[in-house]
Amino acid sequence: MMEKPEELKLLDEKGYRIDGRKKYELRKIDMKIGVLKNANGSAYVEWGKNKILAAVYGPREIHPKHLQRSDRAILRVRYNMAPFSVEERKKPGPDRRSVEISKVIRGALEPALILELFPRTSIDVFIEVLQADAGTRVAGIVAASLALADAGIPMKDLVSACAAGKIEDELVLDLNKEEDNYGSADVPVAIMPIKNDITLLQMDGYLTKEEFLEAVKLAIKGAKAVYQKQREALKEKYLNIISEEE
Amino acid sequence: MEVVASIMKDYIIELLKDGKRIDGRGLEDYRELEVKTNVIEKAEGSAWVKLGNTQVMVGIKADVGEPFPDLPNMGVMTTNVELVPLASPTFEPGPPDERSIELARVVDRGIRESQAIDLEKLVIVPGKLVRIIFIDVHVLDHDGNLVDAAGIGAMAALLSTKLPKIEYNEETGELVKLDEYEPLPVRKIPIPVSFAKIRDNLLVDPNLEEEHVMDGKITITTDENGYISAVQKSEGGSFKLEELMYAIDIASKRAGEIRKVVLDSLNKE
Amino acid sequence: MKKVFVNSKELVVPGTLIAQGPYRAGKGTFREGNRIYSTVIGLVEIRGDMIRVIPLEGPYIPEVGDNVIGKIVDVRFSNWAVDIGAPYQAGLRIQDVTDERIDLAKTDLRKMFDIGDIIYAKVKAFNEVNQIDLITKGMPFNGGPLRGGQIVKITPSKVPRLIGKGGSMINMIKKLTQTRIIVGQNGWVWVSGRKKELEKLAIEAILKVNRESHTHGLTDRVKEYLIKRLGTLKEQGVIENIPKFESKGGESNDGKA
Repeated sequence: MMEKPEELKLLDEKGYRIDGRKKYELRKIDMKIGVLKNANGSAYVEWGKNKILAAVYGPREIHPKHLQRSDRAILRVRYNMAPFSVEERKKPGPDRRSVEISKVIRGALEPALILELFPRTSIDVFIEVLQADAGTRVAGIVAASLALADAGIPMKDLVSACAAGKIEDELVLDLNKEEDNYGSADVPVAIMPIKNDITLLQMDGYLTKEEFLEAVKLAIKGAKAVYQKQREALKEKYLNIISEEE
Repeated sequence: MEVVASIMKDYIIELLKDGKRIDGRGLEDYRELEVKTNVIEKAEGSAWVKLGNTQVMVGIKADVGEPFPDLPNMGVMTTNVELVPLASPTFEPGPPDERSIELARVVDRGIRESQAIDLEKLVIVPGKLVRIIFIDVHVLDHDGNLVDAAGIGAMAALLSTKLPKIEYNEETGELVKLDEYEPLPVRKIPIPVSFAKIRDNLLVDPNLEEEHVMDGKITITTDENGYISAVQKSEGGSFKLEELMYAIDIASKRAGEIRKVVLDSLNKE
Repeated sequence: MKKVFVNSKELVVPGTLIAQGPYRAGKGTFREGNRIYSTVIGLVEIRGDMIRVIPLEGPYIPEVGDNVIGKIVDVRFSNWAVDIGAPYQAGLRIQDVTDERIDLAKTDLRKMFDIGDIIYAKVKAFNEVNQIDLITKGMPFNGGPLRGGQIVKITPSKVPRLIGKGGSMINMIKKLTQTRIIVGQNGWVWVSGRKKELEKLAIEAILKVNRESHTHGLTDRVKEYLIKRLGTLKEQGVIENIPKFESKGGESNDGKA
């Protein structure tokens, strides 16, 4: 986190944030399913200024063979940021942050998948961040989960995700870039809503135990709202076809 | 390997039904912890940690360089973890893999976010020259829970660190290292405590066999003020909110005990 | 407590609660406690106490006896490797191609099926280590290779819809577009027409079925679409007349996805 310019107020007297949102308000989220021809499943998510594309290939045979698991499929996840996705050009390819995020996203999606159905195969999830504005890993999880459903990979639940954080001494939902830069904590959470299972949880910041738990609960609420949008987006792909025809 | 793991899994789960673990510990028990500091003379600070049969060595090296442009009035700290092949048959030589990167970043966040090191005191010339603190974790023997061992080692090593005083000559622009030493300004002692989830059980400080069969893992880093400075759910599996609350409670209790071991190791020098 | 939360044929997504109580969790569903949830995007099917979700997307999982279209991807000493769009590559052995005794040392298998060839085969075995064996002996045209034409791929679960009740859909497309069409149960469809325009039209119709498989009155809509497009082709002088096709009975709710 950066040093905050003194004149910058992240919350005004009326409790509005710099982008005009209230404390517990999500940014605008749009989801599209099946946006790529080649992939077995794909989704595009715009979340605030985040623009994120996810694609799924597989289940397919893995090479090299020593990576195969005889009792189940393996899930591989690559989270990648485009060089032009941020203010200052990002050097192409995986940096340490991307490697860690890829790993925790894999851990967030894996509990939802029924990997035993496809022994010896891999299911590959590719997440490309085309524009980043804080919260790319939760938006990436949301997009990846939609792409997996679009690929017809059997899942116990859709995985949804959202972050909460702390700015100006207050907990807020879904930080944007300025809030992430100058705020004092970021808590991304992913859940499988049917059973309230937390599948991703990280914290970057400094919070009391009580504040942290409040932030987690807030993020879970946000994720549940996102979950409804995911369900609608998936259905819309098919319902649109009906309405086009009738 | 897989067959052994599945037999071991059944055995571990069977024991857990009675609240028991394969090494005889209770679910909330930490393994025996040994910490020694100043074990490497050439390093500005160092510590050796033995947690059960897991061993790590942490060395602190200090250098002088430019600050980050967005943080001109702060020193720099960086954390690196090497999983060297002598520590485990599963560690390969080569560039850091995802395990070592995640490990290093979780340890780093715990320290950085609690502002355990007063980085503002590491500035030599504002905006131009600052001290750079390298935390290098070398894993020597892997028997589970590397995050905690690395985090504990890092804090012990930082607390043992003595930096040579530096004089900056404004006219010549020269830096002179003095023969006088000062301790690294460490303000807090954040300690990571990890749990493995196996079925519906949370086990603190998992050993390697437990890690092999676990569904998921969570690490919670707390400091002496009761604040949390890093949380990481790792691997697969999932956690309930109640489990998280329980883990936070146990983590901060165990962290208090660990902190004492760390402080004792400094007094023993 | 026995309760169903959705209608039959309703569109569901993964994680949708379908029913609770003493139901059986069939394909496309899973049980959690006494509740049954969907695991895929698809249409709910409730038959007696069996609950299934017919997926609208997803990989082809072979079943013994399926007739599939595949592509030769490798020629080995005594067998071929075949891509049939399943998660696993299929194998075709020489003895499942011909009854003739073949001297492998002297025979170039590529003369029978070469890399890139399209074949029509039956799934002979699909075992627990996920090995898929094919057989072409006894198939129409001895399994091919199918010359000319194009391959179009649809979602395997929609094949019954493309075929239609008693072949009603596919026969209509064949007749109106005057093309030869072979539908593999793996969702690979081979289309060959004497005129490229008609071949293209048949493919468009097949893709329309794939896209709209979950909608009602599809056969009539596809027919209307084809006749309209044929009319245009006639005006352009590509064809001389539009073939007659009478569908049997007023089917508006034919087949299933």
